[in-house]
Amino acid sequence: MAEEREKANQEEEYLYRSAGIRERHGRIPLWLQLVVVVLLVWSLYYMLEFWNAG
Amino acid sequence: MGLLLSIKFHNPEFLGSLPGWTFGRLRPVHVNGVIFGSFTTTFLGLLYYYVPRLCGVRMYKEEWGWWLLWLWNGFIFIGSISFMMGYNSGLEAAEYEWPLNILRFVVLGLVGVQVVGTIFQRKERRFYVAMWYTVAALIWTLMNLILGGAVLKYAEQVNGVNSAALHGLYIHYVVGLWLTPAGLAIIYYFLPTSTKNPLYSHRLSLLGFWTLAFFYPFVGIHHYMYSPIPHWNQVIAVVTSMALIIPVWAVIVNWFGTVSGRWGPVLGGLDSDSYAAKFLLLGAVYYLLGCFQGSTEALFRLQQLTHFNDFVIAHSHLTVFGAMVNWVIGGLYYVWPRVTERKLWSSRLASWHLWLTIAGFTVMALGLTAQGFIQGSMLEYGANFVDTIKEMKPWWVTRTLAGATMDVGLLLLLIECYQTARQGELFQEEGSSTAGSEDEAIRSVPKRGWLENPPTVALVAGFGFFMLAVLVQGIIPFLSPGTRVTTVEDVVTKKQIHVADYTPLELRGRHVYIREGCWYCHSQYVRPVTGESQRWGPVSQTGEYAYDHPHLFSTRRIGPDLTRVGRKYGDDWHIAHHWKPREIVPDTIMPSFPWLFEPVKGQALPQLNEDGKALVAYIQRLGTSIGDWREGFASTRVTTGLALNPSPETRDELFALGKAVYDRRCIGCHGAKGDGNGPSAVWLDPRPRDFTRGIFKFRSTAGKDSLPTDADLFLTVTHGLWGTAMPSWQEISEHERLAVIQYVKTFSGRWQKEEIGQPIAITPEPPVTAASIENGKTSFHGKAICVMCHGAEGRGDGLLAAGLQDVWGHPVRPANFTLPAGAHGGVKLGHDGEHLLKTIMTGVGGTAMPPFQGQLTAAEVWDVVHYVQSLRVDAHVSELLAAGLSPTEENESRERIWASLSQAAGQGKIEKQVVQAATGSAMVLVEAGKR
Repeated sequence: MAEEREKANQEEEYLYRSAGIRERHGRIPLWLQLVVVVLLVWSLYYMLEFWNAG
Repeated sequence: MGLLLSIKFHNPEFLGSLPGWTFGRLRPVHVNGVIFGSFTTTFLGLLYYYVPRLCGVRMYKEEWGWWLLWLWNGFIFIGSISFMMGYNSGLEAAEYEWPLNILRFVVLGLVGVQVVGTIFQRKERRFYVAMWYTVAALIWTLMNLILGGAVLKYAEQVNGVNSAALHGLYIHYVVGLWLTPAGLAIIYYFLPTSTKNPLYSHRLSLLGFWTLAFFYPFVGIHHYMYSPIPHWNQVIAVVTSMALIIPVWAVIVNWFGTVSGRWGPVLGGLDSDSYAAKFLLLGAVYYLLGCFQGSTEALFRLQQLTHFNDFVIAHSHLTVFGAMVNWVIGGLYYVWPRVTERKLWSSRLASWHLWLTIAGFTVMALGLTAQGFIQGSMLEYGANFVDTIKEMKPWWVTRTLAGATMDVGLLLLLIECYQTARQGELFQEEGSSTAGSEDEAIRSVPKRGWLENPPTVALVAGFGFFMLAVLVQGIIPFLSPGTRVTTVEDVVTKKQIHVADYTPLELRGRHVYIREGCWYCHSQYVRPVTGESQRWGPVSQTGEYAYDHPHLFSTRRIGPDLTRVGRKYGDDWHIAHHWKPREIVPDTIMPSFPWLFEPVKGQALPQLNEDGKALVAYIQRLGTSIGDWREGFASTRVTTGLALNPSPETRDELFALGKAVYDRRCIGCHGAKGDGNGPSAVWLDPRPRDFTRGIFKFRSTAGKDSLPTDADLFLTVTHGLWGTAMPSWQEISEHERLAVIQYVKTFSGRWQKEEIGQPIAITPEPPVTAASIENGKTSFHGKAICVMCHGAEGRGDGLLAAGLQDVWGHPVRPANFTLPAGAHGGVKLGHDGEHLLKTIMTGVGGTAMPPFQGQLTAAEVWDVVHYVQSLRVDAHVSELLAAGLSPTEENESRERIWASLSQAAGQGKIEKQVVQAATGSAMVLVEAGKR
């Protein structure tokens, strides 16, 4: 049920009438979510490691 | 304009004799022309198209648009002319003078008012992602224009390192907070409309916008990595630059997801919408590549390799032309038929435009990226800087051809637009599958979140994150006392000394330097990486920039870094170099500057005018605030070359190499025949050596004008001769130096007729004692009669000094032993004890300085050496005291200076009395200096 609701949610569209643009609510792919997490973790590590390295 | 500039890289004389057409004057025309001319003008035109449609109402104060059109074009046109006339504030991407800054601010401000007014009146319930970027871009940019046009220009306190830090932010705000969001607004609007597909993901839009808004404002300092800007600010810049991968990949996924299912019609389509989509998607590909390049080149290691070179230019072109300009072109393909109510005149022309762009720009981007790696690698491996420039020339020719290809494509676009408006078939908007009907049921969608409310976008993303970044990356470092020091560490003594402000003449020279755009090609900071401290001199210190307003760090090295160029060459070299650069450095691509000279009268040698003199004074000042560092920069104790005994086979090989080296590096001064009559020789004083007589100044072999050993010549070539046009060639390989020596020896028959004597024996240096110095002084004034030429105080002003000539009849000045390294009139090979001893023993070839071997014992010569060194030590200490050295540190400083000049002193063989007794004399020198 939750999956179906999520799928329906992703496929919901909004129409910007005067511009004629439709927009899906859509999703963020899992791999991109992983990229975000990895980059944020790396950023934290990098700052802690190199803050005073100069 | 870009094409003209590109040609200058491989044909530097192209358009070169006119002041307004040099690289330094045209570069801001090109950069600002692309940013504000081609991109922003088109963007504003498209904004007037999409903002009313996304808001469902007509543009607020629509009638302003006509006035703003003319004002904006006036700004672009007058601004370009002003650059060519030499009006330049010295801040990259913020070069316009104040009237033009105000004009630009007014136009963009009024556009902002129109956009905000339209938003207030909008009928559309939701606020589309293109509008988020539009609002944020205008707010960011209006604030950034205040930063660049007012704070950086007029806040005198924001100087040196702080000027660079804030300017780094400013530059990247132009790119990241104007071009980028404005470009993203364009593609977000025109991609769904041209592909007639729904936007793939609202969630990705949110992720892309908010991560861009948060991370981008912090990144700008990555333009000045490894500079004296606080390290923690650089770390933040690295981290946020890498974090920009998140918004970039988010929007890319969003756009390609949007086209999903429509690739066939888009790529195969021949109508204007299809070409709009093709250019938008092409821009998206370049955006992905360019941004990945931008993020990763911020990493410290990649900075070492790629910063200052064409890799950066590849990145800027990939993003600005590849992405932004192609996006507005895509928008234009969509809008033009609709506003002219005509169908696209020729799909074939559009296809040619597209493929010329792809072909030309791909070659350009790949070429520039490769160039960056090549030049960076060459420099990391210690190549001579000018050699790396020579290596780039064929690549630059390719870039010119690629640029010309792109320009043809743009010309086709112009023809397309013109013909479409005149001859295109009547255009009728087809019913769009995306448009839907007014009656279409819209499913319930999630309630509009606060993240996409106009006030949130404006206040949090627009104002909030911007101010946070300026606070962290600009204001906090500014408030840190460490960034506003006016002291530096003296390189020799490791003591703190004050940096002097610029003299009025130097300040005028700095103005000329800015006006002529020298800073577009020459950086002014030495990084602690890639051997730069071996190439150019000690690493830059914060205090050195205390009086630099604006800073002139620069982001590019088309020419060498100039941080430490002061006293590297004599004034005469600079004069010759500015008159006809390629006569003195055949491979240079520097333009000539005849307008820095007085009008030539008859056959007389051109003389610098007041601007020219000021510029040379400024150049000679650069890098001299950190003490007498050059004294120990190139060693006089090099020994390579002594053992060179080439076989007949290797001799031929060496000869060929030596000739090649000579033709590229020596011929300008010494001439093709080696007679010292190269094309630049007429400017130089002292004149370049005439090799045909086989007489050389500095030798280790006994006897007057004896032939030098290869090691002697190797030393001169490696070290250079201070105060003359002969630079140090330690940057070229040992092999090349040895080879050119073999070639130089062919100019004189002496090498075939005479045996080269054995080097004189160097007795070990005795300890430095007061008695030794006193004995040396006695000999200097008595037995050795040095005083007659060098003067009572060793200042080169003895009784005979004025009339001395060398064997060629050129005037010769005896050395002033008190001057720092590189000063005109000082010693030419340093105050190193062993070198001075050899010079006294063997004399100075071709001059009145005789060999004293046989007249003085070795012990007596060492005494004279110690006395001569003491003259420089006293002068050096007095210079430091005048620069604010604490008197309590004088003795320690004196000891360190002695250790830098004397091997014995360096081993601790120096009498305490020597260090302490001379205190008074240094103070006397300080007082004398004040008088």
